Amino acid sequence: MSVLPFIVTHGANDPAMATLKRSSVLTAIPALTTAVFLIPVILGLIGTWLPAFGYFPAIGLDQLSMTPWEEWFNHPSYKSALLKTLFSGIGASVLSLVITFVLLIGAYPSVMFQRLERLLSPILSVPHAAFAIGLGFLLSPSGWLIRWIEYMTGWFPVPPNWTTFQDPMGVSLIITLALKETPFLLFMSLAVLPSLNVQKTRWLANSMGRSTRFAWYWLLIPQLYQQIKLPFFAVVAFSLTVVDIALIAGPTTPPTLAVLITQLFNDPDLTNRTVGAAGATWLLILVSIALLIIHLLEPPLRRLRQWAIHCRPQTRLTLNWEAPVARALTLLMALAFAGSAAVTFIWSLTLRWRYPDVLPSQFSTLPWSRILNRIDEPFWCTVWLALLSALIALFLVILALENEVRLRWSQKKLNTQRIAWLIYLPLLIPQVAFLFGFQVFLIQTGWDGQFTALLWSHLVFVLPYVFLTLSGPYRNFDDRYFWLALTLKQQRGPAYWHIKFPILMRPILYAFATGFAVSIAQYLPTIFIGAGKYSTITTEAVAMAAGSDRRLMAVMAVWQQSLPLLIFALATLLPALRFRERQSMR
Amino acid sequence: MIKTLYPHILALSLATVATTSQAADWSTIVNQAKGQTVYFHAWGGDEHINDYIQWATDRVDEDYGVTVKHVKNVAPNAVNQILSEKTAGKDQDGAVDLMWVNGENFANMKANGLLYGAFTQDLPNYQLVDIDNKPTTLFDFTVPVDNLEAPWGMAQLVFQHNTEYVQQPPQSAQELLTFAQENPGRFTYPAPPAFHGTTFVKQVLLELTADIDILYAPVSLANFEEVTQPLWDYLDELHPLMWQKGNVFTDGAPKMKQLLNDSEIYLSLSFNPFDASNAIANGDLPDTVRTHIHRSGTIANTHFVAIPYNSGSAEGAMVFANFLMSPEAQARKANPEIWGDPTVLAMNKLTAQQKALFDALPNGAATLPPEDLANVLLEPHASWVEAIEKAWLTRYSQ
Amino acid sequence: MNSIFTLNQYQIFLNNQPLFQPLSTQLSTGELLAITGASGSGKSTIMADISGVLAPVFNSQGQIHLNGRDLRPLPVEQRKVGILFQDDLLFPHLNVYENLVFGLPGKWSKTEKKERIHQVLQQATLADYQDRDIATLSGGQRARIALLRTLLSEPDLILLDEPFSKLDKALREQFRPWVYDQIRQLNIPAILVTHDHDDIPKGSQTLHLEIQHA
Repeated sequence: MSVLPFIVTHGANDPAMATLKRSSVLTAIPALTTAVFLIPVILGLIGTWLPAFGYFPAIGLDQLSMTPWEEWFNHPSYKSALLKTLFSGIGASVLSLVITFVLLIGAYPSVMFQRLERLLSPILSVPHAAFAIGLGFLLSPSGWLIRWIEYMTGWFPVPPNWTTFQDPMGVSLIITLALKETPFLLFMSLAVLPSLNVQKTRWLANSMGRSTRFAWYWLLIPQLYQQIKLPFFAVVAFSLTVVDIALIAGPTTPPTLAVLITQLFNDPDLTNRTVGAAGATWLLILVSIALLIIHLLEPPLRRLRQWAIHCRPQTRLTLNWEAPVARALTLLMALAFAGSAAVTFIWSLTLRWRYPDVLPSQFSTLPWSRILNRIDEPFWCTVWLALLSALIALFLVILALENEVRLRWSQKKLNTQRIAWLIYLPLLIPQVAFLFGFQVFLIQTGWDGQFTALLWSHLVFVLPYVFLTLSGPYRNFDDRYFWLALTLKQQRGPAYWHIKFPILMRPILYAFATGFAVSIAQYLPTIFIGAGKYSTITTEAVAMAAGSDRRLMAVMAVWQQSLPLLIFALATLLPALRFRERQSMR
Repeated sequence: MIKTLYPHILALSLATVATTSQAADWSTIVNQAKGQTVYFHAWGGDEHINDYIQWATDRVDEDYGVTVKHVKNVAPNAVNQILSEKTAGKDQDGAVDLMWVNGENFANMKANGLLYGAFTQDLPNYQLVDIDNKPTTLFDFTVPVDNLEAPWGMAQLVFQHNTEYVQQPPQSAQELLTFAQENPGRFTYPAPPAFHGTTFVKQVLLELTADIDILYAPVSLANFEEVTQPLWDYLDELHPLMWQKGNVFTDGAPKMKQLLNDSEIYLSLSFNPFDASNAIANGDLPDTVRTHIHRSGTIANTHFVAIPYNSGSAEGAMVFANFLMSPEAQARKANPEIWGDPTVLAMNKLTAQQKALFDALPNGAATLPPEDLANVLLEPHASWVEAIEKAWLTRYSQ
Repeated sequence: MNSIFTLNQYQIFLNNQPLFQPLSTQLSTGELLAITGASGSGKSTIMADISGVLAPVFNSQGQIHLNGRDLRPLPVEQRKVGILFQDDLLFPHLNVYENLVFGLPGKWSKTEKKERIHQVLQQATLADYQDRDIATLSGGQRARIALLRTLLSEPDLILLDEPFSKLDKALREQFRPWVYDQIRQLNIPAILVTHDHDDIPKGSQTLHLEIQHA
């Protein structure tokens, strides 16, 4: 509660103050919400830093030393792994940002873009690992694509000895990541685009003799970038530190740093845990440096913009290459996702499928029935984890956002930027950098292997995404609806439940579905915190992916994809059904 | 039959057998085990193995009232768990009660005191283990087992070739190189430190080294550069002829099997002699795949189950480990239609009835006859593993 | 009821700067106060303050009383101040009937509510519109329903924040007398903020706000 530096501030005369007393429970919420995801991160970081500096009593190391760091920087694979990580991580982030912009410039607003918008939620709900597996089925030298080419041309009676997937430079990793991250950036952009007045800005620029491209490059994109900067930072951090996708689609000798660190954590030589801890800490530093550099690039770009604005207007007003490229990119993206889903589904129904057949020689439901035998326990564990973590996250996020509304009406300035940074923190810190340490903490408190601890670890990642998806629409809600409801109903409860909640029902359900999907995709937290006592569809799927049976791998991947898809479908259908007679709610 | 390169290994093994204790304790253990829940951490990447473990857990539940939960977790993750518990001072009732382990993981757990202690001498079925002819049941990567882990199955490096493309499979490392020259891009091996990759490199080293005894002493005693130079020369020549020109490696045997199935490669390797027959039976490999080994013999070892130091259900874990060593369970495991993992038991220690279980097993078309498989090489001293892996990474992974 | 609304030595500040000279005024039942002034003179800010949602960058001083109650300590929902914005702000997820019934006091039974809504819709020549989706209505129809909704909640004071500015001229001429007629029937004081002098009914108090220059 800030005291305004004004002449008159009778506490009791301040209406906001009066409101505050009634909702004092709200004031505790930001602290609670922050604690939910910051405590594990902080404890986990400390628990990782200690071994990184050689303190690891469990294996008799009880003196601080720099040895792990020396060994890390002297690791034979370090230098090359570093280069590959930077190349693939930064490359994928920049590529997805560029694709996002090209799609917007070339297609927004248009009918095609609306179609693309509808594709977004199913695409976003595809778990990373499942998508990477499917893409591998599609692109490898004996994959579906080559089989089709062979079928039509007869060029490849045996698979070509080409490097099309898991190439040493990480190009296939870049493509996989970019395909998965572009929809996320697009989604985040869509939330802010309405406030940018795209059409009016373009019109205005055109009327001043500037091209539409100019309007986008120098007027709209700079504003848009400011709005999606944090999501973009999350993409950078994710691309630099991802483990599961890099395992499936990344280079092998050496792999990226995150994979190398995971290997060190899993090395039979236990002292290598400390080297892994040093590496994980280094990865965190690396991510920070990368983000700092990207941040520092802004002022020069801003100067460039000033220069561009001072330049003489060009006369050509049409876009030439962006529109067709946007169309091609959309098609490519749709094909990649549809293709990987299709080939995964076909594999799940296969008994025998040899190269160069484009379809299995024998179909069978055997893979499904084999998995059905043992899916029961992981299935319900997955569903409960996802449901509960999404519900708790939704509850906390709504309370935090309501608290924000309250603060907005009692404080001059509400630093939403700072809140956003806090929320993004778990997404900016590499998972490998704190999960190990968090596990040690849980064991110390006797909390490991408990369902509640597992739920907590999922919440750390579910909460930020629920906040991200909901905060935009929630903050854009026209407060006047709520005041009106208050003046009409004279009670807060009904005003919220009958007016604000239903109007926001669509984004709320969407945020819930997002949280659900995020929980389902969690692999490392379940492994680290679940202590092996809980298995989810995703841990089963990754266990299958370590095996050789593609058919079972495919069945698990289909399971993994269908759950979030189902929830997203419900999240779309329920409001559509509820408001089927309300045009403006569609 | 077995190349007894190190006479003192056998001498040590006799000493271990002498510590075997009386069976009187066993009934106490069985009583204490009743009602316990055992978390068995074992790799879950193969549904046949998962099915087999499921069967075994059902049986001990029926026979002994012990609940076993199969946690599909690789050994390093389980070690991480135990390590975190030790870091946190949780020395009782840890999350892992029994784990599938061997080699380096075992050596490191032993060195860091993460194991329960000697227990196999108390298990009745341990008496049936073929410790005389299977020295790797007593020396895991040359590290003395000291009754800290119970033998579960035998493994041997074998090669698999697709007869559709390969008529004369290579019988030595040199012939393998010739094969690669004639069929560029059709062979690969997993990148060390993946288990199968390291084993392949060790196999080549054993084949190319003239004075093989040096490999059975600690690496510090040898001139590493000199001894391994032929190996690196060989790999330098082989890699450009491999799948993806040696720029990309697989991460393990399962991926190798997929590549063989897809005809991306014609020649693969496995650690299970029955693997090919098994895979053909369930459609993972074409029926044109056959198994072969090298003339010099191939590296063999044993895989085990071990109890961590902080298990809260050690008795239950012992009962399960004992059941896994029973003739019934071992014969079922050796069936290529079920799993096809060679037994650790000695046929001459079994009753006629028990032996009949093994005699009745089908052999599978792609499996080598036992006399061919008998050609076995022992693992080099454990210290070589790290040195070789590091040198490999320095050369080929940067 | 001798309803009285009082502003006494009332002033709004932005960054310590008063927006206008202190003002004092009184309204009895059925009376209307019109506030005019340039953009930024603080017209709408006064409305926000009276209804209880003054933005925190502002601060206000002086008494606000309605029917003997001091409004300052009361939250929005207890002030009994109805408001009509230039946007109709009809709830988009509810139909016409639901929008109207939302504000009806709970003291009435369901049938009474039905009756009442039916009656006001008839008076407003919108009798058949009960089940209509808001989005399908014309601007004039929406404006009428928005006013009815506010009046049905039986406020002690009604604030009209440029309620006609978004309507076209013909519609405005038609809507304006109807609004004042409705408010008069309820016999409550009203405050109107407007740019347009034509909006102000004859015989009303008028207050012109001058921007204060620092």
